[in-house]
Amino acid sequence: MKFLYLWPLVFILLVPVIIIVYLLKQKAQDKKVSSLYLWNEIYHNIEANTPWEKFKKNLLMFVQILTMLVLIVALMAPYIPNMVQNAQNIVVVIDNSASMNTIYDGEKTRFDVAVEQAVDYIKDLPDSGVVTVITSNDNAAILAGSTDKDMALNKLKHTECTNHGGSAEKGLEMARSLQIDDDSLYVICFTDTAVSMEGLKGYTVDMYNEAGNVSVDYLSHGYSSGSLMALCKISNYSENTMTEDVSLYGGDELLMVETVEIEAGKSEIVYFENIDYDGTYLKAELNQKDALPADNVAYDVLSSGSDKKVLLVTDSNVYLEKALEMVDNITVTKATDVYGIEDFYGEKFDLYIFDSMFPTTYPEDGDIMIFGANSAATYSNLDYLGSVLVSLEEASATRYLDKMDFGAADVYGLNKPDWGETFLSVGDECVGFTGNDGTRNYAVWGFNIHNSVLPLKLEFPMMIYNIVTDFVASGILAENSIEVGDSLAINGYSDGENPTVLRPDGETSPLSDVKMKYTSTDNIGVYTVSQNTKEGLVEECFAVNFPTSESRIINAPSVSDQGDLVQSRVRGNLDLRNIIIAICLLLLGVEWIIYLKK
Amino acid sequence: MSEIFNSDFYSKLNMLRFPLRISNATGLSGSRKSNAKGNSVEFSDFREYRLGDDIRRIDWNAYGRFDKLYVKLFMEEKEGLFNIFVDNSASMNYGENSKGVCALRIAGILSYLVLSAGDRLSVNLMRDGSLTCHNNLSQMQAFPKCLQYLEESVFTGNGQILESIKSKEFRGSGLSFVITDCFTDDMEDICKYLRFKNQDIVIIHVLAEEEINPVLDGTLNLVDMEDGSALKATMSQSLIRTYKKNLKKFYEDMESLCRRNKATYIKVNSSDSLDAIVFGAMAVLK
Repeated sequence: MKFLYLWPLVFILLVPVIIIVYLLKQKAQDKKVSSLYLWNEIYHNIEANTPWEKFKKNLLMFVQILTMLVLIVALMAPYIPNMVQNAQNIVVVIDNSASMNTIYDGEKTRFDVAVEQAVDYIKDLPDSGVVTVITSNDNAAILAGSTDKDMALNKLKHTECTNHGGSAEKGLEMARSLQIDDDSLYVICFTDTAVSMEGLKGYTVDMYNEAGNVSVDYLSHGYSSGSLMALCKISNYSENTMTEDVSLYGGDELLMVETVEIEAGKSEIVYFENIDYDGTYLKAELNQKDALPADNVAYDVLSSGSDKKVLLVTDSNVYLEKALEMVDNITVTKATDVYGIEDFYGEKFDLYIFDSMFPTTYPEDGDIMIFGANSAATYSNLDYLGSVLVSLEEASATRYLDKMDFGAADVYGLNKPDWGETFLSVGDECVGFTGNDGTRNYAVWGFNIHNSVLPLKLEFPMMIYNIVTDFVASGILAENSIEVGDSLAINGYSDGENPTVLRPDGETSPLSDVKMKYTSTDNIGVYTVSQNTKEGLVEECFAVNFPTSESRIINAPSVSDQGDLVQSRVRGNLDLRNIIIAICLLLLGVEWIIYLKK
Repeated sequence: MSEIFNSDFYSKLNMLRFPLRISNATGLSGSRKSNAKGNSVEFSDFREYRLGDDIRRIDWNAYGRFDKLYVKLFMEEKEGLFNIFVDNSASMNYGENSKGVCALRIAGILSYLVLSAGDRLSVNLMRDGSLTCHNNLSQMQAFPKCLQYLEESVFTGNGQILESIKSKEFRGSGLSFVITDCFTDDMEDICKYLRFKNQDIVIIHVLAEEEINPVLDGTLNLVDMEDGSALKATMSQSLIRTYKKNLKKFYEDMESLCRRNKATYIKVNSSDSLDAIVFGAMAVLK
C-alpha cells in the first residue's frame, strides 16, 4: 500500500489532544451518600475485572482515537499500486472516431465512458512521470504530453468525439514512435475496434458494446423525364429486422416520407420519385433514434455548375440509360451506330460512352467509357476468360458499395495501365478499371454488360453514378459529396478572389488561395463555397456525410479477440480511500453504540 | 424534630394494641408468663412436699386420695425486658424521607407497644462506638419521656454499633430491637453477642429510597457522610444495574445472616408510609 499525500500526518498531533480532553473530562462533582459500603463493593468488583473489562472503561476514547487515525489514513489517499506504477511514462490513446459516438450506457457514449475511465486512471497516477494523451481517428493528435497531470486531465475532459472515420491505429503508431525514445513507455488504448498492440507495452481497453444501428449510407439524385428523383441506401447493422421511416427533406422542408423494412445485416434502397423541389440540397433522415444517431442523416447536393455533355453510343441499353438519368448535370446524346461517329467529335462532348461499339478513331479530348472491350478497343488484350464470376474490388468506382460477385460471359482480361485502378476483377485478372492518363479519364469494362447479370444488380446504377460524377466533375469543386475528414480540392477561378467556405455550423472561413485542398470537414452537412469572379458571384455546395465504415458498430472485428492484451476496463490503482471512509463510518457507529450503552 | 412524632403518629398509635412476642420474661413481677413458679393465680403443676415448703400450699384433697403430701405450684408472672437500639450515626440522616426519622418513629411505635403491655423498656442510641440509654422505662406514664428522649437524639458521627451494643449492660434475657441501615460488617457479631446475652433479636433494616433506587448521572465523587471518604465513579446504566444487583445480594445476605442467628429480619424503606411499615413490615412481630 502506498499513500498519495503525507501532509495529513500532521493531524496525529490531535491524538494527545483527545487524551487530554478525556483526562480533563474526568473532573467529578461531589455527591454525598450515606455510606460507600455498597459502592465500595462495586469498586472492588471493578478492580477485580479482567484487563479487557478495564479496557472497556476507556473504550470510547480508544474508539475515538482509532477513528481519528483512520480518518488521517483516509486523507492520505492510500492505494494499492499495480504494475503500471513501475512505468514512469504513460501514454493514453483514445479512439475518437465516429463509432465511439455509439451510446454505451444510457446517455453516455463509448467515448464519454472512455474519457471517464482515462481521467480516473490519470488521477491515480503518481505525480512523477510524463502523461501523454493522444486522440486517434483517421489522424492522431497529441493533446497533452508533460508531467503536469492537471493539464492532461483538463485537455482530456474538454476533448470531443469526432465523426471522422478511422480507429486507434494512428494513435498507436504515434505511441510506437514515442517508444523509440523511451522504452519504458506504457500504453493504455481505449477503442471499440480491433487494433494491434504489437511492439508496445500496455493493453487495450475494450469499449465495444452490443448496440443496434440503422444508417443512411448514401443519398443520390437524378432526373427522369425531367422530374427529380432520389435514392438512398439504408443499412441495418442491428440483429433484428427493422422498420424505418425515411424522411426526405429539400433544405429544411419535408418533402416525402417512405417506410422501409430491412432485415438484420442487410441494406435496402429507398426511391423517392417525382420530387417537387428546386433548391440546393436534399437530406434523408431516419425518424427512429438508435445507438449511433449521427449516421441517421445523409446529404446530397443538387445541381452545381453547368450541364455536361455525354455521348452514348449504344445499340440499346435501357439499364445504362436509366443509370445515367441518375446523374445530375449531364445531357445525354444517344447514337445507335458507330459509323460516322467521328463527325460528332466536333461537338466536344465531355464524356464518350462506347457500349460494345468501337470507332476506328477515338476523340482527342473528353473522357472515355468503354463497355465490352475486346481487341478492337483501347486497353484490351486477348486474354479471353469466357464465362466467369466477376468480383467488385474496392475502388473509387465502387465506393459506398459492398463486395459482391456476379456472373458474366465472354469476359476479357484487360491490360491495365499503371495509372489505372481495378474495380472489377476475376482472380488476379483485371476486367474493369478506371483512371486518368494525364489527359483524360478512362473507364474500361472487359465484358459486354448485356452478357452479364450486373445491370440487374442494385450496385450497377451506383457504380455508373460514381464513375460519371468523377469524370464530369466541373466548376470550382472536384466533388459534391465527401465523408467527414476527407479533403476536397477547391479549384477556384484564377481570375477571382479567394473563395470562402460557409460551414453547416454557420462559420465562414476564407481560403488562403484560389486553389487549395479544404480539410476542415468535421461537421456533417452542406458546405457552401463562394467566389467573387469577373462574371459575378459563383456559389457551389458540397455535402459532408458520415463515414459509412463507422456505421458498422456491431459484428465489427472485436477488440476482445486479442487475449490478455485487452481489458474490459482500465486497471488503475486500487483506491482504498472509500473503503477506509466506510471503516470510519463503522467506527462512528460503534462509538455511538458504546456511548448509548454507557 | 417536632415533626417526628406528629398528630398522625399519635393517631396511628391508638390503633396499635398487640403484645410483642417474647420467649422469656425475666424482669420484675409483671403480666407475662414466665418459666419461674410464683404466686400468681394460674396453676402450673404438683410436686411432693419437701421440707421447708409453705404448708399453705399443700393440696389436702390429694393427700386424702393418695395419702401423700403434695404442694400446688403456681405460675410466676414477670414483665418482659425490651431493648431498642437505634443507630444514631450520620449515615442514618440520609434521604428525602430520612432513614433516621423513620428509625425514630419505629422506635416510638415499639416503645408504645412495650409500655402499653406493661413491660420494661430500655431505649439505646448508638453512635461512635458508645451508647446513650434511657433505662427502666415502664408503664405508659414513661412514654412521653421516652418520645422526648428519642426526639432529642442527633444523627452524627460513625456507627460502630457492635462496640456500642457491647457497652450495654443487659439485665436478664429479653428482646432487642436493632434499628440500623446495616452498613457495617459487624452484623454477624452483633447477632451472636445479643444471642449470648439471651436476647431475642429483631433487626430492622432501614434504607432510603435514594439508596434502593439511586438516580445518579455523570462522573461523581461519592462522599461518605460518616467518614468523609470519597470514591470517583462515572455513572452509567450498567453501573447502576451492578449497584442494584449488589443491593439485592446485600439484602439476601442480611436475611440469611438473621436466619442463621435466629433473628427476625425486617426490611423498611424510609419512604414507606407508617401504615405500610407497621401493618406490613412489622406484622411479623405479632
